[in-house]
Amino acid sequence: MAGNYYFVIVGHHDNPIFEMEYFPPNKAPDTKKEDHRHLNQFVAHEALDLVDEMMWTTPNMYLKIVDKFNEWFVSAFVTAGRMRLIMLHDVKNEDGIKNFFQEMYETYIKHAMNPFYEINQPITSTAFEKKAQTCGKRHLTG
Amino acid sequence: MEAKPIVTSHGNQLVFSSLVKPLLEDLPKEPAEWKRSYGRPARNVHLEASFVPYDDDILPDDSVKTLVSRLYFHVYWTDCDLEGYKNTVKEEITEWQNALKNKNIPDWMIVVVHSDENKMKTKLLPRSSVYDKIKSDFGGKQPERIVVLELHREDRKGGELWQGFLSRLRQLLLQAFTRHLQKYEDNMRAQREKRNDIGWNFQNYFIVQEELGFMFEMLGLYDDALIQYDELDALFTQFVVNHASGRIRALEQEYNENLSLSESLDPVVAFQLAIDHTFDLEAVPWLRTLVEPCKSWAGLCLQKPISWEKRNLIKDNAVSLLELRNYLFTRQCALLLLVKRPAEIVQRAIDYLHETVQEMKVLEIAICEGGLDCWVYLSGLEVLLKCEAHTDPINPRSQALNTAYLWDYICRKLHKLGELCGLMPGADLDPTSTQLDRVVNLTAGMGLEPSTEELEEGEAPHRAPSDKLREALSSREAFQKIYLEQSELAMGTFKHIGRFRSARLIGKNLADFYMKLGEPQKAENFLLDAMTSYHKEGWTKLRDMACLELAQCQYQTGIHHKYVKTGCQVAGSSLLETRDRLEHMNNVMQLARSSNAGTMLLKASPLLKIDVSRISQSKVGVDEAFQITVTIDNQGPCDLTCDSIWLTLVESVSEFSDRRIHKLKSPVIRQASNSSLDNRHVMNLTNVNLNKQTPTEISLRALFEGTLEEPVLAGISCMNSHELLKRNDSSGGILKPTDDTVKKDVTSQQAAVTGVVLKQGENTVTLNFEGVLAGCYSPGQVGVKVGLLEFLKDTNSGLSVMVTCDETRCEIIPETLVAGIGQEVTVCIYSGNVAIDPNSKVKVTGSENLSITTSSHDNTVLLGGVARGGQAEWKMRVFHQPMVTGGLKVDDKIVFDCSWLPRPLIMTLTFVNPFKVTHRLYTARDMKYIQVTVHAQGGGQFQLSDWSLVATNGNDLELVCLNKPLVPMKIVSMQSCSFVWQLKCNTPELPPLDLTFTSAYMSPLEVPAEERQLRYSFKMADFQTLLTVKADICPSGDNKVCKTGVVSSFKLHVTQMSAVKPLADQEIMYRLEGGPNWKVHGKSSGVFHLSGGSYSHSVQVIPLTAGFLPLPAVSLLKYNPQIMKEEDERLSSTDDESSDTDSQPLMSEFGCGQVYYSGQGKQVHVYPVEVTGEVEVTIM
Repeated sequence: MAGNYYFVIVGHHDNPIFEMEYFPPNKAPDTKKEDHRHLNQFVAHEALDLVDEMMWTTPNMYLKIVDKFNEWFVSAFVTAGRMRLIMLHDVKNEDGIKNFFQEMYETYIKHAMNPFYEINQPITSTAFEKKAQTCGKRHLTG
Repeated sequence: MEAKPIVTSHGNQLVFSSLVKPLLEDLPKEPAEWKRSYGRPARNVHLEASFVPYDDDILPDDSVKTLVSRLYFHVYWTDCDLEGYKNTVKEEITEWQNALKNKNIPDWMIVVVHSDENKMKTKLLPRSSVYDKIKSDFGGKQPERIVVLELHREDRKGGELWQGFLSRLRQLLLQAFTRHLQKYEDNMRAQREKRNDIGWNFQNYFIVQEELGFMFEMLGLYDDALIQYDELDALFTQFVVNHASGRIRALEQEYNENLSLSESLDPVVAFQLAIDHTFDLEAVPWLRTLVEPCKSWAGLCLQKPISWEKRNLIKDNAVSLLELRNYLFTRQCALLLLVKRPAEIVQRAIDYLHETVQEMKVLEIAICEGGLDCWVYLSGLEVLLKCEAHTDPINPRSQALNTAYLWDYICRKLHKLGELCGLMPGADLDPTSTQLDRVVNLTAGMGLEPSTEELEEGEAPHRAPSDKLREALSSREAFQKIYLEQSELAMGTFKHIGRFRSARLIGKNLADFYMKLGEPQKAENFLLDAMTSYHKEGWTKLRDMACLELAQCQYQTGIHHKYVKTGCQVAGSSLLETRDRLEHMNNVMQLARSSNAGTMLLKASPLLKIDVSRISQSKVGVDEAFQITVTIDNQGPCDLTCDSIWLTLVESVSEFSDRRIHKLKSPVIRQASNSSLDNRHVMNLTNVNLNKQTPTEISLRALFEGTLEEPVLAGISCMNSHELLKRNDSSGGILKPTDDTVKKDVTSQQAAVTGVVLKQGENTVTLNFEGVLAGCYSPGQVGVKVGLLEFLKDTNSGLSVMVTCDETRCEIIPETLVAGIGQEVTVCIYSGNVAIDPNSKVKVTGSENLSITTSSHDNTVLLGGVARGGQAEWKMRVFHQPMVTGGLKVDDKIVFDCSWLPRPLIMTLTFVNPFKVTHRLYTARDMKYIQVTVHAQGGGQFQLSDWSLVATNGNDLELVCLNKPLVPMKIVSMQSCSFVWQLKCNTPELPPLDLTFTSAYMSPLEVPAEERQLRYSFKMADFQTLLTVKADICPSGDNKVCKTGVVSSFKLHVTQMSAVKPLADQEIMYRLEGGPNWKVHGKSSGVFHLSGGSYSHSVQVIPLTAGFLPLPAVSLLKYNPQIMKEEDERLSSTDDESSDTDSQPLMSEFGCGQVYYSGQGKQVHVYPVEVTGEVEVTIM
């Protein structure tokens, strides 16, 4: 199930507040990673429209695959507070992504509880990052 | 697909051929209900059939596993008579039946046609017709399989028989289908169960299940047919996934560990496993062909509903993955069209293309580079062309979305192909030979088009996608044309449905293309659009990427004023590579130094972050200098040499009025205590408020179900919730566009420094301000000038500086002084903004009552030099005359005539008047006393001593002081002190007296203490006693007691003082006033003469109240009837004025002290009347 993943949390103003990429453990990230990354952003950004549309069609938070772009799939998860968790992936891994989203959602809630964190501001917490990393390892690339 | 269930006909072919036409026509006319196994819903089926002549050889075996081409049903036709039946037909039928039985076929029918009328009529005996015979011979348990028709009869009976036959036929046919299908499906299921067995073949299974699909399609059950294909699709997908993820690998591992397997394998495979310890792809032989290197990437072809060629290839296990997928999708499309769901095609196409590409990758199928892109392009375009005509009436928006997505997808593929084949514009070189080679390869791989003859008639041959692709690949121009056309189409569709983000992304790609094409002006708008949207939504990385491209674009366009702005933005972006940033920085600088461009104004950010950090002083004088420190953060990739940096000052309104304005603008609003109530945190609220066209009103309606007594449900529902909750398209951002224009502030005062090098990072620049006009200023605009560029920033630091212009002024301390004593004051001269030269003089002048003593004799003060803002002070004494009769305070002025000033400075001083002196005369019979009272009004404590009262003109007058002599008296504020003198004289008539009271006083405030003189002069005249008035009350009752309501007599006795000359000629009037206690009974006033030196009179008075009452007040007045007479005479001569003049007799009062009322202070005891019975008191 190893594949490449790009995860982003999008805030209420359509602004990215947290980004992370996951690579299969055996494959080192490409040298052209930087270029790659901004392409991922393009795709994730474009998918926002679809997410906004899809979230009204289902009572579920996990919207499954909402978009495809070239060889990429875009899965999404909309929290109760309308934070959008978006995942770009090149292999199908519905359950893994679902679990990942669920766990990240919980992590996010905990982070949002912090009175010093202002909603919609970029998340800079290293603890959050670490959590996202392990979570990705568990559900996605691991 | 024109397939019909096949039915054989046997027996009399003549009869059959006469009936076949109406039979084929009438059979599908009515539906038959088909009840199916496994609880599937019953379907109404319009049956059709095709008839073939019967032959023993074509009867299918049980082993034959076909559905479509199977002979489902067998009909025997006969119209023989009894004779014929007995002779030949019976035998034939028996034979036929046996043949069927041998093949285990239970689906048959015998049709007996009675065509001859006569024969019918001759039928006399029952059970003797051919029909009866056959029934008894063959009917057995299934008599319903034998049917009789009477064709000659035109009546109802004939028609009924015909309909009966048809329905019987339908029923039996369906029975046959059910039987076969059940068998077939069981078989199929069994096969499917084996799918995990090694050696199983998907293609074979595919054909089997497809057959079922065909069958359903044949019966018109397109939905069911589609399900078969969908199942196949899912199965295949699963296989590929499994293959990729390694069930096979798991088996391999298991074998290698245990050297045995839990499941049995195909011997060949097992052998291979034993030898090689690996499966290779032999383990799933059916995948072998699929994963062979792909040589052909012919696209989907939707012209025909089915391609038998491909099907045969599948049958032969010779199909490639792409071909298999193509075939499968073609079939699905064909069925979707049949079930009238064309809209689904595009939607499925997206998944199909996507997944197939994934599968190709997962299976690691070798394909020529670009081949897959070709395939996607061809297939996608084919779908799009096919679906152009079909619009989705239910959900056109979703169809449009899918269409747009597909267009976008194939555009990207085309773009990639263009890159591969060197067709992108901009590259200077012609396509290389490798690229040309690739074009040839790709073109070859597209396969041949189905020739036009193969197309169904009537369908206009449209331009096939492969033609289009070939054209596109043939030349750059064609490629550009087609690429642009299709991109615009995709973008237009996205825009149409409000998918602006997607449209922008395409726009950005288009912009890239235009840039390569050398038409940057076309690219600019796309990039700008993309950049702003990324910026608004906070995707900084994307924004900066777009910005970089925009900068390149604008640089090429040569619109300098736009470029410098974008260039600076690029240079200031920390997310971009330094190389790019430097490049643009250099470009910008080059432009800035070039001569041909005009001055360009720019916002300082993001290249320079400017902030005013400090003002050296908060308050300065007019011609003083002050410094303002500006922090400039150079975000650029290199140092920046500036020609000049300036800062303007903006005159700000004073703090007070500022606050007032602020107050006016925002009244006190209650702040929500919880930050979570903030709009931003509430889902969607910001969007709703800011951007969306919300409905003007929210219409609510009460919902109520059930009765009032027993409500089931009650609530409120929003009638236009769809409008309220409408999704907000990405068309509008949250941020409103801000005014981007930069205006240079030229009006204000400014300071500048030149030739500064701004290092990367933070720089501090100090600006020196001099000669600023008076006022309150705050830093306004900071400008950085580099060549022709000016970076401007309006600061808002909250700092301010006050520039003041002070005039020379003077101050006297203390401000409040006490009159009557000499006090020392300090005079301060503040030079203000002027310096005072040494030897300047100040002449001090007081007023008449104010004497001033300075150190110099002529009250001129010599000042040493005083610097600007400095001060000089000296001390001087002031003394103000006390005003003994005046008020509390006295103001007076001092004039300072300064030699260096054109006008004298005038200061006002306030003095507290320390004393107020009054006098009073007291009389006791003929003795006179004078009291002088000194009231202290403030100014501290005073000590009075050596007082005296002197009459200037009283020769034989003696004033005897009654106070204790020689004891000084101290008074403080609000106290008073009195001095009394008895006036003794021998002369009965004194002239008017001029009296002067003097007293020495001292105040501890005055240093050194000095005794000063207080002087108070007053006059007295006519104060000697002339008359003495005695008054008494004589009660009239028996026991000489005054009682209320009882008349008493008031006795008045006036005596002339003996020493005084007689007042015989003077008429005197008395006046009696009872006041509230007494009622005067009779005349209250009267005139009398003091002829005998005395006068007595009594008046009746009634006391009104009980208690100790003062006597009624009596007063004497001079009465002057002469004056009145004279007056009368004068008046009588002038009648007309008589009305104006008062007829009151002229009276004048006696002088103070001339009449001594001895009864004053006397009181009389009045008893209340004891009320016994009715008492009526009448007061008249």
